[in-house]
Amino acid sequence: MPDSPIHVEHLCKYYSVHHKDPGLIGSLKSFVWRKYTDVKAVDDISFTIHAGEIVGFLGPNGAGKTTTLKVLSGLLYPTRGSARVLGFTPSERRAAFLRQITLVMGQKQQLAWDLPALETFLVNAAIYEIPDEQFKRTLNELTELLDLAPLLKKQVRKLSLGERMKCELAAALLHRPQILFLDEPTIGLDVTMQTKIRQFVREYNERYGATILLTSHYMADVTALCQRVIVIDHGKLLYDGDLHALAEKLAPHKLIRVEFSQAVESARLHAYGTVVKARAQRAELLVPREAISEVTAQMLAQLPIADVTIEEPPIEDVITRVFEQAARARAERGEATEEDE
Amino acid sequence: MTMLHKYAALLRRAMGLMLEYRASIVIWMLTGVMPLVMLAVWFALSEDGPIAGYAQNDFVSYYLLLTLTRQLTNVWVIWELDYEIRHGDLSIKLLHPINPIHEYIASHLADKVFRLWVLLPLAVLAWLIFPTIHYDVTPLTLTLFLLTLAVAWLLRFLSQYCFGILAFWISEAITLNEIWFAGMLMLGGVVAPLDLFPAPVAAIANYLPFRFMLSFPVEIMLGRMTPTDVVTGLFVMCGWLAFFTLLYRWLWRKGIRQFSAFGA
Repeated sequence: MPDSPIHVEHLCKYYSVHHKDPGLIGSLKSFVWRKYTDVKAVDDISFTIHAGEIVGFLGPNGAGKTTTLKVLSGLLYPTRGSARVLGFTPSERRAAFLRQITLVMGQKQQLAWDLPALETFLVNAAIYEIPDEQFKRTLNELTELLDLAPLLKKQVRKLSLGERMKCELAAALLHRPQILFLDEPTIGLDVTMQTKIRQFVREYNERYGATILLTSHYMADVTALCQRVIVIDHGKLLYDGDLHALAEKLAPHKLIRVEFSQAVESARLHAYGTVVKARAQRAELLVPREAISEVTAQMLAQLPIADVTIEEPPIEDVITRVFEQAARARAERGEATEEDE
Repeated sequence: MTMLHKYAALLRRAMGLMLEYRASIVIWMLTGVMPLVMLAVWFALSEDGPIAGYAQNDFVSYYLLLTLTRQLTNVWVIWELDYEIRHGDLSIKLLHPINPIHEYIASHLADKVFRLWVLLPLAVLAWLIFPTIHYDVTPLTLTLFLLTLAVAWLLRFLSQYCFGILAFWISEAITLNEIWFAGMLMLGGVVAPLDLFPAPVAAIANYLPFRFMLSFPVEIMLGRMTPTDVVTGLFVMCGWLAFFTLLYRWLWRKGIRQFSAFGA
């Protein structure tokens, strides 16, 4: 296996979309003269992913995450730039390439609705040319990891959403792909099931050394699984690196949480930092990273403190801040700021 | 060998689905009985004597076998293809290391196996009701019948697949296919056996693809063609098969390119 199985350089994917005004007149107008605009779903993105990494792909709706995953799994041609996966050009969709990857889309399913999941597994075993021995072993392992035993012989339409997702994952992994593209694998699932899927993804990564690129709206998925994140917005890469360094780089503040032994007026707190929350005996303040020890010492000396904790601000807030900054920067450059396309 | 293995698995799943939907297949089969309606018409018209060499009994022989042929060459792939292209569900199939056409072929084959089960007792029943029906049964005609029946199905499948691929570009693919289907009803020997048409029309229809999608196998079993006619027909049939195979390949390549340029 090459050291960096995924290699993306200056990748661009533009869609030309035609606009239509609502109503009959709009329809007629668009029939005679169609107005096309280019939507830049992915706009000059480069990154490399190393073997065995789990990388989180973050961005709001319409940022270009799914488009990138589809380019990498061969469903979309890049408009410009290049993508190489395991040494293949994905869009050629060679069988040897397809046999080593998988794309799980939380919103699409491959299981036959009216048949037990096992039927689809058997079909996949045949079309992926999985040897019988290996199929049995992998199925046993997946059954154990995902608790599939009671589900395999039930009609898929009778499974709950979470059960179905587990079967979808199994169907997508029977051929033991080295590269996993997971697009919102936990969407719509309850918290317990999300945790289970997460644990499973980690297990799979450790057991088979698979390389995983995952998108999710649930930050918990990303914080639990990924050391490294790639943040994109409006098709542009905003950040690529360590998840915690992201917080340090982009959140110049830390959060001080204090508990007082007696009530303290909130007016007294403003001297120490930005007050986020202040109740009679509790407060939360944002304090610049570099001033943190000094401010804490002052507070301990000057206030009746019973308890104090210093935390990174929640990663959700950090990410939101990244997107806000990007939006502001775009507005300053005078670019359109429509959110979804 | 592995391809056979893949088909076995695809067929098994398709059979499983067929059995889930068995009632609806029987209902769909009822929509393929237009040849029987035409039989009633021609049966009544030929009461006073043969028409262009077709006696009542010939019409019965012709239309009963045409009904069977129509049932066994039935194709619906455009409905699935059009839906999957326009809803993006084709993506799931494109991720598999096998051309999606094989999955569609397998589900059609499963349908044929199921239909045979229903049709065989009906065929026996028809023969009991009309014991006078007559076919030119020899090892050669039987072999040719089975062969041309298979190719007729392939032609219907591939031509409809080509129309289905148009859904990559336009949303009217199904409508266009309906026109093609109407062509088959008119010139594929459903409205009337082709040799009942005025000579100039028949001469053209003999070379159009519609005949080879439906009535040609029946014409072979009726034994009214000269050997030269049969051989010419076989050549023309092969020509159309080659044509639609190449057309399919070309359109599919273009279509996938379009799909993956546009949104998958």
